[in-house]
Amino acid sequence: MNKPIRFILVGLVVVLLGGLAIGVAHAEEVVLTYVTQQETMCFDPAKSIDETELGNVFNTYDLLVYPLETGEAPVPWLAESWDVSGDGLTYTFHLRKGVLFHDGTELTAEDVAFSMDRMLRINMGFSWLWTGILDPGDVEVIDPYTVSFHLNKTFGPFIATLVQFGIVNKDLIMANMKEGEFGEFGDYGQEYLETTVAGSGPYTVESVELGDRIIFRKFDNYWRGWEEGQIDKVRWLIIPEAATMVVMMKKGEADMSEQWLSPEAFEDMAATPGVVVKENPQMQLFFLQMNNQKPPFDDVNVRKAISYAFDYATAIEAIFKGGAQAEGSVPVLMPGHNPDITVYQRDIEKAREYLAKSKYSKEELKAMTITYVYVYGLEIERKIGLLLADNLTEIDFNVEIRSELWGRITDMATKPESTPHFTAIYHTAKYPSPDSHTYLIYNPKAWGNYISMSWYENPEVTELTDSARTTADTEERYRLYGEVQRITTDEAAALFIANPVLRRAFRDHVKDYRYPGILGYDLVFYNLKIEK
Amino acid sequence: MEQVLRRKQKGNLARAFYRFKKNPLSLVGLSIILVMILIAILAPFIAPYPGDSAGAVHFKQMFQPPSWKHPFGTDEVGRDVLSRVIFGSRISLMLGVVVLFVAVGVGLPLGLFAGYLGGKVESVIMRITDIFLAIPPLVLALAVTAVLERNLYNSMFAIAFTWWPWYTRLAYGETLSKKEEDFVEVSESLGASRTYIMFREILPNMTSSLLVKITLDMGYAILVGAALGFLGLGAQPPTPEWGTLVSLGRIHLPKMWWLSTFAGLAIFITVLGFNLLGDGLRDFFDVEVE
Repeated sequence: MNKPIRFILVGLVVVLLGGLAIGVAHAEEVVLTYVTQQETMCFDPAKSIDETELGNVFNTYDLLVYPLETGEAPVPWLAESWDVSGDGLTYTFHLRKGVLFHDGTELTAEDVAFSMDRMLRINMGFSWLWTGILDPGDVEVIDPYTVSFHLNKTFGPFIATLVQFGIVNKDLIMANMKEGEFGEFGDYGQEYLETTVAGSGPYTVESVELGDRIIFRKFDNYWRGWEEGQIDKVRWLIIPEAATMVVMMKKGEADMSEQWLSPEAFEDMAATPGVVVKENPQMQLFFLQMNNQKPPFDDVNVRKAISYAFDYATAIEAIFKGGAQAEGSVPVLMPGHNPDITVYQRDIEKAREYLAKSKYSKEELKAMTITYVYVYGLEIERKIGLLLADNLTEIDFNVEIRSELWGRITDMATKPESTPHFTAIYHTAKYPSPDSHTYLIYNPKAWGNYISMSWYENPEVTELTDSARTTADTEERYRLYGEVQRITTDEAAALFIANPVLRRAFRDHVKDYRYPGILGYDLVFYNLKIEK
Repeated sequence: MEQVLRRKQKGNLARAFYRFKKNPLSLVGLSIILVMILIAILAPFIAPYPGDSAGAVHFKQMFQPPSWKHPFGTDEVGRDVLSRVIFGSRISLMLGVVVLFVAVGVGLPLGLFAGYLGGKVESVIMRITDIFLAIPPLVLALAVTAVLERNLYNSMFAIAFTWWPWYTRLAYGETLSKKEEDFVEVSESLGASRTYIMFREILPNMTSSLLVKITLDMGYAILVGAALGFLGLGAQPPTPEWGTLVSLGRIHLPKMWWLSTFAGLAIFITVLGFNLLGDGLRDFFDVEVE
């Protein structure tokens, strides 16, 4: 045997033994690998907005209230209970004692007040939920375990919105802030939270390589305690190619997949032994915004004609491959959804009838080019565009399909003039109240972002959504929202298409997955167990 | 005298054809291009389902693997991939032709002016050209399309925008070498105008190098166009542009391999064809082109 070969063999044996040793040392550790193509930009509850950032926040921070069941009101969490003053303006929360941050200090009312001020001053992420409702300084510390929120006006969905309010560690942030625009608070620790966390949640961040991977490690002193089989370490990998993700799932190199893969990819994975695809209904609306201020969509008859021309069944069966047809803007599972409203079905005769009533002549409509804009890379939206264009040729419309980057679409959304005729939009519940799917779409006060690209204006609806917001009684509030749903579907404010299902693929040893209906909450790894 | 000249030319031509034929690959290139052009022209007649290249969708027959009915299979909305690849040839060839037409139309006169007139004109034109040449074509084209609305015509414009400097450089170099030659000096002494000399004396004498470069560039322009399409910046649905087809098919790899593969092969064969032909022409004209 010559020398180099012997060297290689010896090297191999050493590597194998080393690998075995590492394997033995870590045999006890329960590890889960999650794959997604979405990059994480920060670990900051005041800035998180997309699914992965929200998932990171819900894993590493804690909230006053928690959405445990789909379609139900949030349950007490860090806040063990709360009182509401008679005028509905003051909410007083009684905090759980003995909740520890990752650095071992206790979470108190000071941290809650600091977190809300920080959220409002940074004015990013979900701070818009409380715009006009709360100002910095409106949160009062009564004692270390009691904190009061003084609202500027009654706000019915207030408790529901708190599912987007993560509590940060005040002392840790203050010790790690940089120069910034917030005076004595510097940059409010924004730079610090780009790569690390300051929370009390079930996981800490062990290491981050932006655009590549995040390693989460369980926080031993988490207040809810730990059981056998729960996950000690999460490898969160960012995989840019969908095909690679599918192969990793099939080969067992990943345990859990993101939800944005195509229905075909999920079918493919589900057919592989060892992989399970779970489907959950969600509080999500997929709809096409119809710019109500752009001819010919300023004519209700044209909008109704389009609502009758679209082939909903094919969209649900062949494109979404599951889910339910949308019934108006409020998702079917959302508390406060009104079932007694117009639900359009494909009916070309009716579509032609409404077109005949339109103020635009057939020739005028034929001469117009209707633009359909969708987010570049979203396959389902592209296919919906192809289906729509095909459907609308039957009533002599000329549809042009165009993809744009998300950033460009949010720019278009700022003005009615720059908003295209159709824009494909997913609007997932960020808090469990019909407010998110009525007020944000139809009230002119909320205009200017992707949710309001229909530029729908009706004084009656504006009035209804305004008063629903300030109604404290839940039943009355839902009645008002119900009325909004009836009017807006009757006037075909937009083309409501589907309440899609959420799919994820798992290796079959991953158990106890549950989805509470709100974006990002199903990424809470604390809920999962791995069976040996 | 004239007869002698003509005979000499004839001899040159014969030698050129001999050189061209000696390299069988250039004949392969020529045949590929001719077939491609034929396919593009006859697309509506040879495509089995011409409607599938436009707006039609057939959700009932999605993702069918290649069969007699659909030799290249069907795509994610049930369209015949063969028909779409056939119609795609029109777009790619048109893109190549338009891009080079614009690039030559802009670049060539600028190069002639710079080379023949010299002085300040030369400095200005050639420095601007250098700036453009300093940026890789794909990167510049990406930047241009990112600013404009996404569609096929803007991507053609973007590619042409990055392509003209190469022709300025070529024409400039050729003009510099030709303007010292006797036939130019004779024309000058006979009092011919500058325009006449540039376009009637110098330009015809660089046709061969131009033709070779244009042929080679057709392939590259089609490739850049496909790259833009792949990145979603070119043709919009339902236009069956090859790069877009490859890009949209790749998310269904490896199971539904036929979506990307055939469009990819079409790009490969076309680009190869133009390269082989370009090489053949280079031998034919016996010229050096960078």
